[in-house]
Amino acid sequence: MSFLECDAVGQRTPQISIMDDKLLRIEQDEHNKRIRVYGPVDIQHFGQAKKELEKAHSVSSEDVAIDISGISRLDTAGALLLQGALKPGRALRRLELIDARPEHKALLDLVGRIKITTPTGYQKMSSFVQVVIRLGKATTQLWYATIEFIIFMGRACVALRKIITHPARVRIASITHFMETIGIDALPIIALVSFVISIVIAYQGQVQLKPFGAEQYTVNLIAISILREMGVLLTAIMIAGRSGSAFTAEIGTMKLREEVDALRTLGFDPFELLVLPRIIALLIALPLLTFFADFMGLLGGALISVSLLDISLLQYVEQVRQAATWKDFFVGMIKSPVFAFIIALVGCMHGLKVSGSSESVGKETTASVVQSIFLVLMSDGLFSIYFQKIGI
Amino acid sequence: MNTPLKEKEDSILTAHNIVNRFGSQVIHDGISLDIIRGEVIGIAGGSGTGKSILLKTMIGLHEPNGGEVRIADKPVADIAPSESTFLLGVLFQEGALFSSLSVAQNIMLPLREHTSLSEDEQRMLAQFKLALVGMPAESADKHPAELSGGMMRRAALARALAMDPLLLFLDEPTSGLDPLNASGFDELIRELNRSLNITVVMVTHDLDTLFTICDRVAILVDRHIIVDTLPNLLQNTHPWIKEFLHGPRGQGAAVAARSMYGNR
Repeated sequence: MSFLECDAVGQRTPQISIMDDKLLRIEQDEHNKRIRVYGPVDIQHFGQAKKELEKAHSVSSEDVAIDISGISRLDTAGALLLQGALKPGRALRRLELIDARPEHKALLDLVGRIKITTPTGYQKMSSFVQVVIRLGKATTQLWYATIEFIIFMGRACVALRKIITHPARVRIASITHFMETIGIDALPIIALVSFVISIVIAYQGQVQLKPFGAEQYTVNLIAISILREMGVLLTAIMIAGRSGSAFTAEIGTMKLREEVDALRTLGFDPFELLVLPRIIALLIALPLLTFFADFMGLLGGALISVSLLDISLLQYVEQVRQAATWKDFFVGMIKSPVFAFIIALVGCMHGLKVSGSSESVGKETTASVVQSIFLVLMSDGLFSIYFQKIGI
Repeated sequence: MNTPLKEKEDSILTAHNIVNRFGSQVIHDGISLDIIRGEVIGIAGGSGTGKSILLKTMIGLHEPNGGEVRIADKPVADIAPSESTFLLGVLFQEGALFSSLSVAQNIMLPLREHTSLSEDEQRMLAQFKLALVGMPAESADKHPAELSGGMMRRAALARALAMDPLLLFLDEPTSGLDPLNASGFDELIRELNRSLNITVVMVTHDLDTLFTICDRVAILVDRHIIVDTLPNLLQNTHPWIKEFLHGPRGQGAAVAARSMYGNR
């Protein structure tokens, strides 16, 4: 019996481009000793080729010879499939590839030569173990982040003290630049947020107080809440999202492009040049913005009072003066430099932590905003307790 | 490299009369180029001669102001992305590995999207490709940021080869690599060209690369292109080409190539 006899159709197809979609086809001789493969055995036809080969193998005897002279295109995926490396169903028994064209033979040799190893760490862990590992990592990271923050705060304090004793080293130009981007550019959004939130408080307060006939106390509600808490807190959160993130992204990008290292080689202290101006600018800008937010908040309250409570603007001003004292105003204002310090520190610290890829800029920016808002809220809580204790 | 190329060999990519201009500045003024199946062709030229733009035009990422590129006899503009991934692989200058994915995931990404391979088969193929480009198996689970420059380039090459394309485009593959790494990379490209029967088009001004592994060299000068084998180009009298190939660096590369490959 000659295999060639039963192979009348097997004229050689010239190697053609991938556009040729000749279907893969497998023929077997009557004794199931030989398989002949036609058409493309490549990554594009992988599923089909695998299925056909499996089918052929399932009916063939122990020793299989595969005639691959009819293959039009063979690539590494196809070669691995023929070699049995990408096991089609079950492992092939003895396999003989015959009549390979030279270029296919070279490829098959190459594929046979290279040993595929999968790293041992690849085995998937159970999800419980993964959760425990992540929890542990997060805990240690939290601990290190706290220590890092304290160290950074110490550095900032030392640098600030140096500036006070050597005022000539203050970089006025860069501080004014940051004050513009942090402060003046933020005026519209701060105005909007403060105005709208105070309208919401006034409106809701008026609805709740009406059944008790105490509508006029809505003015007290607005004045106290805006001056003591809402004005400063809203401003700090807005600035943490707006400028804290910008600090991280700006410094982080400079770090990635080795600009921070370049500064150091040119004889500058990156801390003094990049971090300090931002801290000082924010220390000045945030209290001013808070004052502006207080004003806009009271203005929003005035709008609601005049339109819903039927009191005149003059009466409103008089009632605010009675309800709120200078103390309330200063309780709000005293917090703003502290919040400014936190936001600037966290933003700059995360910027300097950027390393490796641009992905890390995004990660640090997210961390910076989340952390600074968290710390702002936490210190606000501490302030509340403190003011309560000393009776302000 | 001195093997004469057979006439009338089938070309896999033809660029016809390509015109590229930015504003009033003409970069390419009617460039025609045939890329022959199985060859390694280097594209060289001074800075600003539009090497990278030509490469981007050939792979369809940049639409030329005039002319047409055809790959496997199909206009490149008509080739859908899902189809082109089987046709061409690209090694970008900085590697362009996705930084949020591990090396193995980078290689498996097109396999997952465009083929019917199972997860394990994808992984096997990814490991195979890594071994093929000479990377240790352990690097598969590393992230691009953890790799050295040379390793990053190899990993990016493995991703470019993921779909076993017919054409491999390389944008300055050896720039920024140390000389040992660079010549290792040259060797690897030549080896892949032979064993995988893959056609390689590379933009490079690495003279060593041009002298050692390129079958033909295309040089962009004066908004036109001159394509020939290197021995013929060495006879060319154009001042820039003369300066480029006969300058001190060119001499050195020629000597090195001769000592390495003899009269191949």
